[in-house]
Amino acid sequence: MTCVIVGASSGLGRALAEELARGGHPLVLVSSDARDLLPLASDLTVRFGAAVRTVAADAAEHAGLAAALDRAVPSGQPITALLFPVGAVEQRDDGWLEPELAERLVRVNLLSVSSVVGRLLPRLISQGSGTIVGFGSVAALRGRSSNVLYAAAKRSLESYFESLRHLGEPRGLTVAFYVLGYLDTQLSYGSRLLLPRADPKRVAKRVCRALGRERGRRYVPWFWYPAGVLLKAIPWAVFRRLNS
Amino acid sequence: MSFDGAVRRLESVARPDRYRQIEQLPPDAPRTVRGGGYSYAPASFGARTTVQRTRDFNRVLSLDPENGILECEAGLTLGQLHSVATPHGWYLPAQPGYPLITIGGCIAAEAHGKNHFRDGTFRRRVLALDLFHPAHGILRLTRDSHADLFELTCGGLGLTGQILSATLALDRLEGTRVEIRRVSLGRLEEAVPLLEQWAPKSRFLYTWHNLSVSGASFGRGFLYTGDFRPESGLARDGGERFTPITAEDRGRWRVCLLNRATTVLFNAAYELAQRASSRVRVLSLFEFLFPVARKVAYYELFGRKGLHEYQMLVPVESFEDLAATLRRGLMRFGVPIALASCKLFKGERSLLRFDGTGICLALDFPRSSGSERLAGFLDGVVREARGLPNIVKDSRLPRETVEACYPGYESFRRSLRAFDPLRLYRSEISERLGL
Repeated sequence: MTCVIVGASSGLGRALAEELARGGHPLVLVSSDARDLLPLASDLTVRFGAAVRTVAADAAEHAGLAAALDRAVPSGQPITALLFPVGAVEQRDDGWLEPELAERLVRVNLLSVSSVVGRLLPRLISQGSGTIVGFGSVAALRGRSSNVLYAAAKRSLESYFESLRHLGEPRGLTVAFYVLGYLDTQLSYGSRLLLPRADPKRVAKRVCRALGRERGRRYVPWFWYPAGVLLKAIPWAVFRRLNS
Repeated sequence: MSFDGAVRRLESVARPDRYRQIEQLPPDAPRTVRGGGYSYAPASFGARTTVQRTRDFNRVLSLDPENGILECEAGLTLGQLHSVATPHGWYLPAQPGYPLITIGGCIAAEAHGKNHFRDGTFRRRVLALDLFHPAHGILRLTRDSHADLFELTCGGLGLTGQILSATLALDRLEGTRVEIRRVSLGRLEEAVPLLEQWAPKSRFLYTWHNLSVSGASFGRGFLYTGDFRPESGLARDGGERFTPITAEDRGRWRVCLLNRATTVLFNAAYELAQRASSRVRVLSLFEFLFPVARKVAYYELFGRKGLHEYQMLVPVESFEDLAATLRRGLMRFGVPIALASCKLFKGERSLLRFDGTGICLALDFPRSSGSERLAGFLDGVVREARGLPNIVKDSRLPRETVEACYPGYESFRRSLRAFDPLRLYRSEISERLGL
């Protein structure tokens, strides 16, 4: 029954937490700051009567995070799903990022996921069921001159989830990876964008409805699938002119 | 843009969704907190600062279902609170009529409902507040600790700092249906005796007046008295759907459809429809508490230029003279009054709060060149009547009128400057009123 959400306190993570709490799932919520996490846990408890545990840990310290999470998830209870709406961007991620910040981006966007999965995978395999959900970004469809390492980490994550499918599916696990378009969150607030922003609540509803049934890579909202195909088909000679 | 359409500014707006982002602004950077953005006057922007939205800080922190004590973040909306509290048999009295207004906004504007004579203003519901100010950190304000700052923050127009959370005392719900009885009144002056006569027998009480008729029946209309239907139980009414509107949507029609001719027609049609309908109506609590929720089209009628809402609180004994002045004076300006409504107030005046004892009269009229003059005329009327104009309803209210009407102006200004010498939290209102 238990669902684990890493990166739960804002944006899509918070919307997923609400949606799963509404569905009656016990939750383990992970985020870096207890000040954001505790209000959310109280809110879900008051509004939906949800059983919520919280783990306040920095996703960049991925090994410690995985260990803390392993302790926080009750060992007797089956894990229904692991969801990873976790991520970080840096404003100056233009290829010249200091090594410490660059490493941090890779740790948060990629290694936090692989460490937690690595730690909890034996439990999922022994229970013979469970869903692992990762989230990518349309920013990683093509390399651009901004969000350089973020996109690289998210593309690595996509590859990691493809491998995870090989590993998990024969053992009864469901592995899904959602490539997300622009979301209407604090990050995109006020910026001019080519395609409309999606409401994180609607994305969360869409993901939770299909939880445990949908597998493989999906684009959300759907129109990013054709947009992605087009974007990837643009030859370099043209693409380099579009890049700003 | 302010909800009345009067003030538009392009400003930098941030939408933090974590506590550390609230603290990230440089400690000496001027700022403005914006909740729902439904204040008629620009209380949440307009001072060339960084505007910080609170919409993501809308979590319920605790609910004591035995005693009706709810703690929430300041961005929680009245509609969200309603859907959390009602199933437990509680509701929040003293709230304004639109469900997307936030708790923080209600506190800062010292909001009231259709029951001021019984339940007072919003402040009476507030047991404690958490206030953030970069120079002071996070302070817990109650009537016992930091009592002065608590008083300054309730009705403080958001100028003391950012309200992070509030603990509210709710009232026990006696039913989820409200029965409203309609009583006819022949002229504006009759509002006072009728309101006072019905007050002991009513939970909610307000009037509607037609100011488009001249002569002896100027301001004829209806008194509405409401109370819970006890037998209606606590079942969810399911009627919580509503049309979202923002200040920008409100002004999407270029033209104003309310002129003298159409206003006469609209008012006459409303009057006729009321007379033709049953004297007793039953509404769900949601529909009753949030009448604007399904009537946003009314505000759109005012078009891009927007509207004035002049809301004044005048002593009971000056109301007759005021009615006579309005009867004589309104015609001169040629401005159609789209809506006129009275409520009964029983409270005390202090600082810049729209609170006290008397009759609260609200007038809505479309914005035009004549409307500015009419509003200026009403400034004089309210001063003469020793009344209060509502600061959050009026984007043009001059500083001198506020200084003349509010004896607490100077003390508010002094206390605010003593607490925050740099005056970090600002808005168009604070700049205009010299706060």
